[in-house]
Amino acid sequence: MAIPLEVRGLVARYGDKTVLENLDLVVQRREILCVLGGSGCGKSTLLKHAIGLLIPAAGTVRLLGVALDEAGEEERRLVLVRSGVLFQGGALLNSLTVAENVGLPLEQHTDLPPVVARDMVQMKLELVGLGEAANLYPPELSGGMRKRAALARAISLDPEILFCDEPSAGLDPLTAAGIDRLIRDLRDALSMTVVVVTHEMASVAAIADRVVMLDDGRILFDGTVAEMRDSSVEAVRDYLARRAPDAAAADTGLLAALGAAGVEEAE
Amino acid sequence: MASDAAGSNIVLDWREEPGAAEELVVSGRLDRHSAREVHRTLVERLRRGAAAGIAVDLSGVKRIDASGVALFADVLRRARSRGVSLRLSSLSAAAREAFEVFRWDPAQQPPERIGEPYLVQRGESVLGGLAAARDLLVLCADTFVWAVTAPFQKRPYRKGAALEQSVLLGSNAAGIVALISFIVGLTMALLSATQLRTFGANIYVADMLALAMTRELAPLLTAILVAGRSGSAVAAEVATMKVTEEVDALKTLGLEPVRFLVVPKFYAITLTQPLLTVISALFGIAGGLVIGTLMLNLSPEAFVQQAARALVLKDLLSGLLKSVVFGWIILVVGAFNGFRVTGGAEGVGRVTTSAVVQAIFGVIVADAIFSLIFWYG
Repeated sequence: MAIPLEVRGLVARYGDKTVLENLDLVVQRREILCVLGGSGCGKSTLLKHAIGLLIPAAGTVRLLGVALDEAGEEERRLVLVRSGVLFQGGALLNSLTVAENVGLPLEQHTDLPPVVARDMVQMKLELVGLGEAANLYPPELSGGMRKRAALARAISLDPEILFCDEPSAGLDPLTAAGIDRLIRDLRDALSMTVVVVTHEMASVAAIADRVVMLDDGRILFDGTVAEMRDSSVEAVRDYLARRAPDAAAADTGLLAALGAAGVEEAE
Repeated sequence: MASDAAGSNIVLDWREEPGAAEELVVSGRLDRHSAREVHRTLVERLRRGAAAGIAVDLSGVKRIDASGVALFADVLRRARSRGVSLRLSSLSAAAREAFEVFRWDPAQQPPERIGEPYLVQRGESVLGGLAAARDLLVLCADTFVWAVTAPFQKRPYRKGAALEQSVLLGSNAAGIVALISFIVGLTMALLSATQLRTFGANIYVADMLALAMTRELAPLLTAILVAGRSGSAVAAEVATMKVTEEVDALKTLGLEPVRFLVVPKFYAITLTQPLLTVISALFGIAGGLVIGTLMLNLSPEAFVQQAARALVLKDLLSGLLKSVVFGWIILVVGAFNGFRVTGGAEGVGRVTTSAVVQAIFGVIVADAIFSLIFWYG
């Protein structure tokens, strides 16, 4: 069985700016990998390379055993059909109802009888708690509902590997916990491999088998959540404890420039 | 490894014992490649009648996905409607897990969208139209009031905005307005020359072009071009800001959106629309001059003199007055459609289109009204 995702020596650049520097990453089957890191550290860029939306400046990406840069058009399409992606903003098609959004890949890529496809869509929607919203249009949904509908679409073909970009960002804790549990359940039931890009520590603790932390385009940490707590790298422990780097010291800034020393409290 | 290129990988076997339920033994992979086959087999057996009931043995299923579970929903509905009992006699661990994750009662149906009755729809569209008309009036009033009072406010909003907008709405359109007017001038001169030549009245090409361009064609051509170019841009800009909550942000910052967004454009279009119209008229007449000189044996001096003689001040002024009004129509219609946007990015495209269509319609209607007024006045 092929390794679901194998990234070797990946270099990503936007213009002159190098976003990912010689990155190696292997994700095993049935593994839930969380990719952590501050904003702008290259998390989403990594995700976009993994699904072939961006072309690496150097290095290779093998998704479900297929090298994306060598594969032909048809081979890439087939491998993408076997993977699911939950985009950060949902990326639902606004002109279709929720059920039509979820049913679209089924209609295009399978020859299931229409009634079974319809049942399957409804089942997926019940799974994400949107059974009642099947005939609504995406603009009529709240942000959290839109995200859940997008998750239902991402799993509509029971993908072998599921990529999630910030699945629980902007959701209330209960809905976020529901999505976390769903991701675990799906992994268990369908032997799915899951790559989650996030910065919600709560959801990382709930779902991650393994955590990779990116910083400045490199892997800063690779291990379990428990290992994160004992990491020798200070930035990792800071991230976990939500400690902001020390604010600018008091002897700089306007107060210092204006001579704070001479000011005395008025009686 | 399942691949969409691979066929189904499943074995189906009927086991029948007299008196007992017929049993379908499914083994292998029950996924979206084989679900169709299993579904068909079960539906056919139901159709033939299975009085003793049907049992399905999934103990040999190694892999199962959502379609493998979902197919039983439809089969169950059909079995129930025929009064046949359907049950799963045995499940593999994988199958049990899948059925536990994908819980769903097939009797449940999502609520349908129910459309309003016809009369209610009509009534609502009339009310919607009235509300839109009111909003349009309010926007016009706001724009004019702010435009007049803004210079006297203590704190003018962003000083360079009107100038910046003049470049965007006006200067940048000059090239295309000049080119199109020149081409229309050429065409008009050629068309009329064929007629006038038979009377030996070539020189009147100059009169005709000068009058037609200044009174009618220059304001109209310019307005149509600006509606397509700048009216759409205004609508798209305002609509995008509305969709991304920037308009709401302005309100919370204590800034009046109409004053902040529309008034600078109002100044800009009031200034640039007459200028563009002048450019249009000049280039249109120049187009006629080229044809007159090259093909109608007129001297350039004679053409210019004749054109100048034909024009009276009233024609020039009425053309300019029209152009200003057309500019206002384009702007207000653009902004109105922008503020009216609903939905997301899709809505932006929709209001942009309707802004252009409505602006051109408004300009042509206004032009007709002006023609009537100038006829009597």
